[in-house]
Amino acid sequence: LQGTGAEDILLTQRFRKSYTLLATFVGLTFLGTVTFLIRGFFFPQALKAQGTAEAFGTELFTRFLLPFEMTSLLLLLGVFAALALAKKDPS
Amino acid sequence: MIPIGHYFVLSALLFSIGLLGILIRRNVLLILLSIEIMLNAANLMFIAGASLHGRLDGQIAAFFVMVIAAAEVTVGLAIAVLLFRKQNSVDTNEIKWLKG
Repeated sequence: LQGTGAEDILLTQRFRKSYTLLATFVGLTFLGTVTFLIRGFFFPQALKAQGTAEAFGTELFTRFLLPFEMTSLLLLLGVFAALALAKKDPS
Repeated sequence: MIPIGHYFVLSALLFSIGLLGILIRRNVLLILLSIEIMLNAANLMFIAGASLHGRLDGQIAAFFVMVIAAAEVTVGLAIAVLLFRKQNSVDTNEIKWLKG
């Protein structure tokens, strides 16, 4: 996953050093903000909805039919785009 | 059952780990991996919210998020292949063609 010659790159060189401090700060701030905002939510909750495949399929094909068809078209366009981008030129 | 707050914190933790990964990684493939981590965090929160309110809308939203993630990974990997063909490495520090 690291590519060729990954053993030669030191651990300190694998990251952008100039962004590490700022990125850590941003990540921790986000985490702290979310944890602070939800501090009242730790009560046990009962599982209400039975997510059966039949109910899910009914919802998907009646209420959400338009997003379903649009995302299938989007997948088709994604395949075309990947084909067009990754094709080798026959030159 | 598990309290909903635990799902919130886990989702926020995963999201910030993915965010950290996008900001400081140099490898293009690992940046795409961090994007997938963020999408998984959002999916987890959709499912947990659906279970909390007793509705199926969150599960359908998670379904569509997964479909969009698949399409985005397709195009993202095609772009990564093009980048590798041009500069023969996946290091983003070597994308310097607009300078000078």
